[in-house]
Amino acid sequence: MLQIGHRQCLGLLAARLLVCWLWLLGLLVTFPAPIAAHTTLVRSAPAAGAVVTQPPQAVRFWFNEPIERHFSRIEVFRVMLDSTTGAVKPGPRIDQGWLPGPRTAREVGVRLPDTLEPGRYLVQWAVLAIDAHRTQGSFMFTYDPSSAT
Amino acid sequence: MDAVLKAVHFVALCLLLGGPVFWLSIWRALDTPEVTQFTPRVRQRTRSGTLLGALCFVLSGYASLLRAASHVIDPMDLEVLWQFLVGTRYGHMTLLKSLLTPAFLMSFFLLPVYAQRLAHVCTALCGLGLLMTLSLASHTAAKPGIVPVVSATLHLVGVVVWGGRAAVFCPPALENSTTRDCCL
Repeated sequence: MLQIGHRQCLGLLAARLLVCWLWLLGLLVTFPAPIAAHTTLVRSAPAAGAVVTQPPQAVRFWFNEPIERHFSRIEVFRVMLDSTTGAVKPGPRIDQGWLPGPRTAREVGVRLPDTLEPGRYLVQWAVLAIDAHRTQGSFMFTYDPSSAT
Repeated sequence: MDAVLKAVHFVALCLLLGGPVFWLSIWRALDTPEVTQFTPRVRQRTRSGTLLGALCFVLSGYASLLRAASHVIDPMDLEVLWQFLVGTRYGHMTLLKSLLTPAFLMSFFLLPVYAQRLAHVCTALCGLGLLMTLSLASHTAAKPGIVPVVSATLHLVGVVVWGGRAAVFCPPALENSTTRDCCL
C-alpha cells in the first residue's frame, strides 16, 4: 500500500465532504419547495363564496404570518356582467383603504362603504410577507339581503 | 432566480464566516511545527475567501432585495425603492447586513493589531449578528417567541461554519491530492 501523508488523507476527506456539501446545495436549489414555506391566507370575513345578509363594514384577512401592510394590496370590486358575453368582470373599485393597524400584522382588512348595494363582489389581494415573498389570490362573496328570509 | 440568489447568498456567508472561524478556532489552535509551514497558504486563502465572501454576501443581499421589490413595486422608482429598504423587515435586515459586514471585516483583519481579545469578541458578535439577519428575515421570525429564531441561528452556525471550513480547507488539499491511493 502506498504510504501517503496524513495531511493528504485529511485533504481528500475534506474534498469529498465539500463535494457532498455542494451536491446537497444543488439539491436545495433544484428542489426549493421543501424549504419554502410561504404565507397563506388562513381565513377571511366574508369567506370565499359566502352569501351575507348583512352588509359587511370591512373585508378582513387572517394570514398565518405577518405581512407588510404598506407593500400589500387588497382591492374590492363590484362584479359586473358583460352584456355581450355574459362573463363576469370586475366593475368599480369600492374599498376605502386599510383598517388601522401596525406596519406588520397577521390580521388586516379594508373598509367598505356604509351603504353597500346588494350584489356580488370580487376581492383581489396580493400581500408581501416579512421574508419578502409575495402571495396573491382572489375570491368572491355575495351580499343578498333577501336570502335571509 | 430567487433560489440561485439565495444559494449564492448562503455560500457567500459560508465563505465570509467559515474561514475566520476555521482560522481562529482550528488552525491557530493547531500551531504545531507540522502545520506551521502551511500557515501562510491557509492565511492567504482565509483572507481571500473572507473578502470574496463579504463582497458576494452584500451584493447578493441587495440583488435579492431588488428581486423581491420588483414583485410589488417598480424597482426603477428610487424613492419607492428607498421606502421598501427602510420600511420593510427585509429591507432593514439587508441594511443591517451591509453595515455588519464591514464591521466584521474590520474586527477580523484590523482590530487584532491593537487588541486581540477584543477582536475575537467583536468578530464573534458581528458574525452572530450576520447570522441573525438571515434568521430574522426568514419565516422563522414570523413564529411567536424567540426560540424559533435562536434555533434557526444555531442551525445556521453549524451549517455556515461547516461549509466555510470545508471551502477554506479543501483548495490546498485538492492541490496535493494527486494520487488515488489513499488510506481513506
